[in-house]
Amino acid sequence: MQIYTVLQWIFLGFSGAVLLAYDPVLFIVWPIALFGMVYARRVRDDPIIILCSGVPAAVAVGYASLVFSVIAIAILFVLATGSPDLISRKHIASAVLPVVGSLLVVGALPLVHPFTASLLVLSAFAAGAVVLYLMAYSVRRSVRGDQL
Amino acid sequence: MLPTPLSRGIGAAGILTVAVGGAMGSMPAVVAGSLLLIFLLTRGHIFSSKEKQVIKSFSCERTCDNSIVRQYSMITVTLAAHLDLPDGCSVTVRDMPGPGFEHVFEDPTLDPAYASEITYRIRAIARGAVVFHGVSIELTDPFFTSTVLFSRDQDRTPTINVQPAGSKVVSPGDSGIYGQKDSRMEISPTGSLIRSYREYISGDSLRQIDWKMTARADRLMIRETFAQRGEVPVIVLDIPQDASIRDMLIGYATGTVEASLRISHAVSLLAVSGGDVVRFLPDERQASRVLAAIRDLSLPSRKTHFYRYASDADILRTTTSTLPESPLRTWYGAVLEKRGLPAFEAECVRAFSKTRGTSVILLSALSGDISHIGMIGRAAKRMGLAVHLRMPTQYSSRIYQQVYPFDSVGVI
Repeated sequence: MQIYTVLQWIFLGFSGAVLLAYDPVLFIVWPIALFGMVYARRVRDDPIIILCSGVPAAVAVGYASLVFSVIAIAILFVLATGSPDLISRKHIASAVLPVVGSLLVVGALPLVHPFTASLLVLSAFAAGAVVLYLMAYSVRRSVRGDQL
Repeated sequence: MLPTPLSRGIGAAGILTVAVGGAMGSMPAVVAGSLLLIFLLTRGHIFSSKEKQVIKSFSCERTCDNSIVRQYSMITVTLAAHLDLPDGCSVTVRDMPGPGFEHVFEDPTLDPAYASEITYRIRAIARGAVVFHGVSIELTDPFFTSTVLFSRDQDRTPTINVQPAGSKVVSPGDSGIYGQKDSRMEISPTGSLIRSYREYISGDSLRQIDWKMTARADRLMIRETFAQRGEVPVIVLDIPQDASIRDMLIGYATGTVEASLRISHAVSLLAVSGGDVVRFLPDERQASRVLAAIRDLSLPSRKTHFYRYASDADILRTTTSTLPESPLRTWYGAVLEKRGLPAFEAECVRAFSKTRGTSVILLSALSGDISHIGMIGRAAKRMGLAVHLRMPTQYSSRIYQQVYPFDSVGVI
């Protein structure tokens, strides 16, 4: 827990310093990090602290290069969950999704206005969530029988 | 597929970062938020793949120590589950016996990482051919959790044939389950009234075989006894507010009193309206007095309300589901310590203690708040009486056998 506390203050300090110099988005991204910390304490889930406090840092390094944001977010995920099967041979289709998605985000999003980009991303996320739900629903129907 | 607190946090952070970044024209914020959402979707896809893997590989085999049993008897069930365990995901298999059975002691939960089968005991409640409800599998990884219900035909075997236990409850007009007409006036050599005849099945006492009926039917037939002479049932009538149902219940109560007095020397009547006792007649031998008391019952307004009163067991169940350091535990503990027995439940205990009854027949429409029904059941159990609930068909879904302490539930 102590290492997490140190890490979160480093993230917040670094990102705060960089964002304060570059962009007023700081005043929104920081509250996300703080909200994450409060929420994590409430639900007793330490990985949320790392992920949410890392968001300002990932945004901050994105001002240097958008590729750094990809690396920062990937590191955050690995740090937070230690997920070995994020990119694995067993789930090869799942490995394609983050790679292609990251390439699209870094390569295509900067070509449009940030507001348009945010609308596109939110729409795509909603569509992806619906597809996942329908996939899970179709699988369950096969095992539910006639009683449910 | 439900998100865990972690994925909820990631989703909220991602959406907010993208939305705020877009509104304020910050491309790095949009990119960082988009990446968070992409990683979240990826985890969702991985979880979905794991779910498919479990569903494809799952098979179960359920065996019972006996497939033909008496009602309320115990059945030992063994569930063997086979599945391909995915990495980084905890899986719990839970057997679901369904509403025809009641759990007794063990929790029918299996962790496939440590064992491949589980044995537990249940009690058969419903009569007839009763099948299991199925099996549920709970998958959990750091990001998502889901519960998959398997209720295909192969997940619901075997079928348990539950034979009636020979209920001591008086049920006027209740014909024999096997198509035989009641023979209420016949008296068996042991002094019991004969309810019906049915074919002999393994486990029946040989002394119950009726040789005359056996010779007539050309197969082994046994007598089912109806009630012991001298038994005094306590009829509890919960007067409903609805006039049409009230007439039906009063008619049923009248029939029950008459039928009870044909086989018992006395009957007790306790009329309640919600949480108020309206009339109490202990161990009455004269049918006319009991029937007059029922006929003269007025429609009292319900003065006492319990507002979904939580029993001690309910509170204990709620307490154990809260976090160990939650202040709710202290509050619930204080409530349990201070509140004592409700006045209505104490009245029921006093009433039951004044009768010589061995069973309670509770007639209720189960309309509105039914907290008082649980209190009547608990009071009867406190006095060692069996409780048999009879209710109109349309309200039968309101009662849960596991929650209320009834020995049998039937519809009118």
